[in-house]
Amino acid sequence: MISENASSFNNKPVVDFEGTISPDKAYRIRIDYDSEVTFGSLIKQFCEDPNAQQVEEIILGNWFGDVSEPEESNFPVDALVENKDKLPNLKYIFLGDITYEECEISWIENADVNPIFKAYPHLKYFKVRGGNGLSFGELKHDALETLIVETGGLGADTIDELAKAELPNLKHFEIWTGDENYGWNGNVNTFKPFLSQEKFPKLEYLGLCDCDITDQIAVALKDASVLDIISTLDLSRGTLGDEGAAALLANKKIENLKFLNLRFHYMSSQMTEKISALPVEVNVGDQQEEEEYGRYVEVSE
Amino acid sequence: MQLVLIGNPENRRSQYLKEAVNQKLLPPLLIISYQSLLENPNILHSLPSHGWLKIDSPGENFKVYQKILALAPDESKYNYVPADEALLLPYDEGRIYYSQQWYAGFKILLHKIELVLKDKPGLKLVNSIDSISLFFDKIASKHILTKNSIATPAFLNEIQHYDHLHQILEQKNSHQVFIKLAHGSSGSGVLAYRKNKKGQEMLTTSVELVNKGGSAKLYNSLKIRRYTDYNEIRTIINILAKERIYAEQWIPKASQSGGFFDLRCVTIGGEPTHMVMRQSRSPITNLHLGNARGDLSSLKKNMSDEQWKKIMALARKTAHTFNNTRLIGLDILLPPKLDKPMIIEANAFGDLLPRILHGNENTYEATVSYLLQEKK
Repeated sequence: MISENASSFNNKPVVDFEGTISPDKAYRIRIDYDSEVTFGSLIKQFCEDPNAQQVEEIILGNWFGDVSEPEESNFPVDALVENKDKLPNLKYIFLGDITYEECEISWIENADVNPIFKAYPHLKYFKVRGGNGLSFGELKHDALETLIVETGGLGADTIDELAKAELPNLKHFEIWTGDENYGWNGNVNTFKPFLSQEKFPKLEYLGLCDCDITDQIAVALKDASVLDIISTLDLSRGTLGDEGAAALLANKKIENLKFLNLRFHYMSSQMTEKISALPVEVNVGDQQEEEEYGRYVEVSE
Repeated sequence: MQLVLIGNPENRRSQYLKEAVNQKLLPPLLIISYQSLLENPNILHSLPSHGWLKIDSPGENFKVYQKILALAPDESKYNYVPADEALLLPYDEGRIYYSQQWYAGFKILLHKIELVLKDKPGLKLVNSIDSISLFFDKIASKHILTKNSIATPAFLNEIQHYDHLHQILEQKNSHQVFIKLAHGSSGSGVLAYRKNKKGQEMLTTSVELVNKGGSAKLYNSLKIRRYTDYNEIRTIINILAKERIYAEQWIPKASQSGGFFDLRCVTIGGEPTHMVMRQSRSPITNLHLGNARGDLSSLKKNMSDEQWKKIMALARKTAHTFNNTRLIGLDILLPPKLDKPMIIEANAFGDLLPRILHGNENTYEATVSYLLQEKK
């Protein structure tokens, strides 16, 4: 469950845009269930502010007000693209800063975000929340350093698009693949391209998070060349259990990492202890107990 | 000044008030226990003829609960257990049942107190009988708030059963609601329900559906559960609907570091005094559900003075709406942008905020101080 809005972005405190822009703040544009202004008019107002030229970051929150519908999903993407000349310094975008109270993550209707990357060639950071209808198309971008995709269920088609993406400067790659009831339909092979260092040669952070086959990923990481270049492996929010943990322990390459994030897991206490003894900083917080129906990822709805 | 309390003596509420009275060097608090009152209502005639009477919560005492149930008249309107059976009900922790009957019994008890007080005009009530009855009828309270133009999530309708809920949602063009017991307290039986246009449903609640020996029962639990299965959701709503429930608009709450929050604000003599932030990772913020108090000072930092003043003004206006009601626990909601505060509900016994001080006084001490100066 997403229970907080972003409070800082690009190292600046986040505030809701209310009509003026100050350079020491990051702005979120969003509407309420009963807003008198439209999302489009707010973006327009933001872009026409004299300080918009200097703006480096923008957060797009709830754009639908009451209930997210597919027919409105292009809306924030189009708005960003239309205003590209008014935001010449924009480098950080968070599309979908929407909490559970506003909408279930798996009910957010998203869109083809490819035009954003074309419109903003200097973009360094792109984070998007919500996997329904989400598409990256043929993604090529020379400047992008961070790509974060948070969903309650991400389709294998969309992940395949990312597997084909050309992002030579990408340092941080993080996807939350979620639950099969909400759109996740891949298998361990879906992740294979990301386990090779050729995919994103400058990668430092690999996050395959909120995944309901974390054990299989952990096994597949054996001999994975990506482990020779990254410093952080993030398998948090998923379904890691003792089987996957044993595979990580047996994997010598894991010891080259600086940080291994396994927060929210289904490992036994014994295994948790063993993993913690690795010569790597490890987060083993939020141990879960398997329920009657099996293991659940942390964020699905 | 003599202060009299009707309450459960073993409860910490009674202890806090007793300590507050002692601290002000007043005559010791006179406590009439619900237990003795229910056994022998004539005990009320022994009340002093001058001073203040505080009627506090009868909660957290199963014997008292049984006896209040037994006071209620037999009505076909609600799920009813006859008096003799009520007195023999086995303790079933957390079970949600007979909330209408409990309310009917509680009103009778309040009425008995009222009759005796007619002969004792010098003994004044901190909160009037009418206001206590009103606050335990969330539907009637809602109507009063609405009638007085106090911002509150809109009342949609009483809900007879699951399909009826859907008719109401359609009629009101609404897709996310809170469903509440009209006579519940402490988050008992609160359901956060939503559906989308694809027909997916989500019910988030501390209510647990338990199937024991072929019959489905509802329990308040300390864990937030999420139901997505149509049959389970339908069963929960249909069982709960036997106890008079209603739907109100679910307005998204604001969040800050630590999760969503709302505010519990106590008003004493019409003035907002004590406040806590109730913070949660789920839509249900009641503090006994393992939720924590949030950082109010960091909220204030993120708000403009004007936004804060709006909250205070709303609390004041609400408190003044209820006559002869000196002590109210208001639940206040802030939408994500922190503007447009709303009253979620007003609570008759909402002053239990341990360790929260206002001008060095906790809610109990501040209440006593207020009564002392009102007397002058």
